Amino acid sequence: MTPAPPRHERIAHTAELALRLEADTPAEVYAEACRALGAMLREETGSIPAGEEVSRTVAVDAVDADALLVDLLNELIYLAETERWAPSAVPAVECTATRVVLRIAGARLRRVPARIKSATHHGLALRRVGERWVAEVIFDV
Amino acid sequence: MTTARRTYPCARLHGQLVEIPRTAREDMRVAARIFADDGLWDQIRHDRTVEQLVNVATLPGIEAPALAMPDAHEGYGFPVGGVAAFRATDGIISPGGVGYDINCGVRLLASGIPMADLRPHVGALMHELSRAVPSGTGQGGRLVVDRTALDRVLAEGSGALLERGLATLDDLAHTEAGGALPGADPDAVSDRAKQRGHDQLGTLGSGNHFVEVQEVADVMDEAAAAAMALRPGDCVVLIHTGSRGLGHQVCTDYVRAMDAVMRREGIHLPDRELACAPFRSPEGRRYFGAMCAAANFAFANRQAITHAIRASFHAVLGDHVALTLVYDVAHNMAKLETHGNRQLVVHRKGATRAFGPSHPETPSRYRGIGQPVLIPGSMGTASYVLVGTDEALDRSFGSCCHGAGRAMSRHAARAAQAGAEVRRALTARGITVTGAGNRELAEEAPQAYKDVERVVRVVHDAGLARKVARLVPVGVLKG
Repeated sequence: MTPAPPRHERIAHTAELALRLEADTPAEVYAEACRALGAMLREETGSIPAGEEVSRTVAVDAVDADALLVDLLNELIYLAETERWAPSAVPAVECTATRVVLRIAGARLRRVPARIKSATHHGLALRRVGERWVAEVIFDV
Repeated sequence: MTTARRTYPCARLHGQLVEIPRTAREDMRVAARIFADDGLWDQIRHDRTVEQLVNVATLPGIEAPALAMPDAHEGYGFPVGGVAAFRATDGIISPGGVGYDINCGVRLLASGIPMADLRPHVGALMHELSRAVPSGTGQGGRLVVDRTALDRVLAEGSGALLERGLATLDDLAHTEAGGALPGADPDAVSDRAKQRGHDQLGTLGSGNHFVEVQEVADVMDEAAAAAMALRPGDCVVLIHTGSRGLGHQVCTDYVRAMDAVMRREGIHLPDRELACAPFRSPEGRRYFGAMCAAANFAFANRQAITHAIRASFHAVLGDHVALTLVYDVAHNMAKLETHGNRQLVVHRKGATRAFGPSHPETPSRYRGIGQPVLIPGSMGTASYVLVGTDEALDRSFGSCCHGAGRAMSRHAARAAQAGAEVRRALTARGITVTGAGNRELAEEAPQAYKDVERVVRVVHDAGLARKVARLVPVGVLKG
């Protein structure tokens, strides 16, 4: 059977932004989270990146898989605000239960994004559903 | 979220109050109460507000029922519109209970200018304001400070701006806590938080933050309105913003740090976003110091914006214009307060402090009247000025609602009405809107929020605050 590609979708929340992430492995969930957040950041600041393409390695350590996901997203939010940079592709990702390392391609944003304040732990559980790994993340906006 | 929503037994205690009994879930330590009439209760109970409030009612050291205001809606951890008081002796403090936008709050300026005189200049004024007050995605702010100056802002709040000529003593006297929370510890604020905040003083931020030029449409309490220099037909300015990226990072840092504390203390939570520490623990005290510092940054941010607004009025209307600060009040904060003989850490998450006429923290100008309570409506609808009551201390730890409260997700709001249509409707009503794209306008459309008139009626009828004046928008600068 052909493996299904990772995917994400926005889900309903009265006040905040919420994402559902789905992939075959936890590592791919982390990568998809990067791509999804990058899309949200570019959506806010205009669809055309300012130009300069920058790739970087991002490594995050945390106590468990859920915290890894939240801490990774918050690292990217910090980089977006302080360096006007948003991810677009994830060529490589490795993870253990408490560490994830990603090679991320991205580009500078035209403006500093201010809409997304943080990723939260509320209701978050990276879990197996059938053959897929699924997580739902709420962002404070 | 796709998890099933649990329903709880409830009883209506009176026309404005619903209770979820302590027995509704076995881990509850106290009951949960929601201030709402039947219509608002019907809206509130359809998202996760009640579940989140029940979760709050399980936290260690909670002193009395967990409360939700009539503008409540689901958040993350605490519901937005939530109030909970924890004993300072054996209770907790929760970064998630304060939220990411520490000391998000509202400030009202009175101008004494009749709107009839201002009306011909509204376009020029809104243009000037949009230049002077960097909004949502601006690159940094008007006031860039080095680390030494930033640490002073974190320690002294609005007072740090006195020497720069950006604040007056009268401004400080009419800001909650004098514009500076005691207990602020700049060293407890991370370098990352300082990096995010060093160029953000004087900036609005994004989302539902705004500067609105408004008209005093109705006065319900003439004595209180006179004390605030609010006359029917006059122009006023309402500012809504918070601690920007600095506050967001403080919350992020401490939610993360609480993981280890909870394992050590054996605290088990129904929701990880309620991450907390005993208030008396080293980690609890350190978060409190960082939160107070971020709150001081927010006071200073609204003060720097006030200075920019004053300069804009001078540029458009002349130097004779004097904008006086009516009041500045927070709605995302945890404060150490004395209630009776108890020291309590009162968490207000999307809820406004509303102290009454005899409370010692009510400014002298408002003694005998009550602390001004500022309730913004949704974009294009009325805002309200109320005053706190002495009775609210017993009913809600001196707390009130903070706005209309969202009723619709951003996605649903965009689907319901196009941003261009929202802009046309506002323009047709004589309201000038700047600083927002059509997407933001659609998300913040009035129909995405509860009816502010109804929300305010509930807090008034419940005795949490008393109506003073109704304000209607004339010009909106969106974050």
